[in-house]
Amino acid sequence: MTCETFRERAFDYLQGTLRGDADFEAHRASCASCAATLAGIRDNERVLRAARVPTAPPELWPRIAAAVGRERVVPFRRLRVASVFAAAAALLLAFTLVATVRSARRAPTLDLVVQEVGPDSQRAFRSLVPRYDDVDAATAMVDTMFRSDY
Amino acid sequence: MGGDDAELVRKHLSGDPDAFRALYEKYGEKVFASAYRIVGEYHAAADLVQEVFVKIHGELRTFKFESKFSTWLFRVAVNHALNRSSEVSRHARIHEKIVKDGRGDPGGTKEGRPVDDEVQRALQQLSPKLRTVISLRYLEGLSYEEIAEILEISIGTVKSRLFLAHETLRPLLKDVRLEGDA
Repeated sequence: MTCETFRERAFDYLQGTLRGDADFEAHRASCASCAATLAGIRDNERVLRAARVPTAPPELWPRIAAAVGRERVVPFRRLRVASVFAAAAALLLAFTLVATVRSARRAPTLDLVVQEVGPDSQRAFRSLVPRYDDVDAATAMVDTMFRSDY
Repeated sequence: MGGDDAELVRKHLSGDPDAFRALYEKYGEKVFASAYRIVGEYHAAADLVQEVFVKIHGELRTFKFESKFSTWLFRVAVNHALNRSSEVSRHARIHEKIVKDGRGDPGGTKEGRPVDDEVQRALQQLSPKLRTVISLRYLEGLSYEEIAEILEISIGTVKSRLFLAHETLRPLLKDVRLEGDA
């Protein structure tokens, strides 16, 4: 057995799993360097196994729980329900945005109405009705117009 | 994968709020011990364990149940510790200098028995990779096969790293006396 083979098998020997270790023992008896290496590893192992490490701080779990609480796992079956609600919410949001944009585009400002129709409530009303979604909105606009200083 | 661990992972994935805590209670101290050995500083190890458990909490959904949960957990923890070890070592050196200069202990260490401190000091002389195999072998008591699976290296590489680590540790540990030694 070579010194290299001896070293490769040293850990198996130390944990008692080396089969047919007569060659190994023979090399140990004849090679002082390998015998010293093996003894050194054995001494190290004894010290390393005896050494202890401090315990984790008791506040570690509360810190972890607080951190993971912010990204709590949602089971798949709940995810399906949540996705339906999310789709409905997205649809509602989109509808609201479109309505707001359309309304802003249709509703003329008071200044523009006055410039267009002048101080004539009948013409103002006829002009405004097609631009609003309903008569009440046009009426309110005309009321505002004639209550103001225009 | 151990039956208990698999069951806990499944319970966690189905929304059982106690399952993840049970996994922490089973492995938290072990992961902390390895992290402490690898990064060499108490508070840095605590931060690292917190980061690892938050990370696996988010990633358990991707766990394939093909390996043991403990192997997967230690792989995540060891890789995280190795990534952080150079940064932590730099802080540890600064911390050591502050203590040596007599400016007090900023809170990065935890006093242990003399043998514990001597071993910890000796391990800091090893590279992070060698510290890791020593930690997994002698602290966690894992087999060569388990270490190889966690580190995703061959068993031969595990043994050669262990051999190199022991060669470095021999002069550093030769005068350490255990209780009961003559």
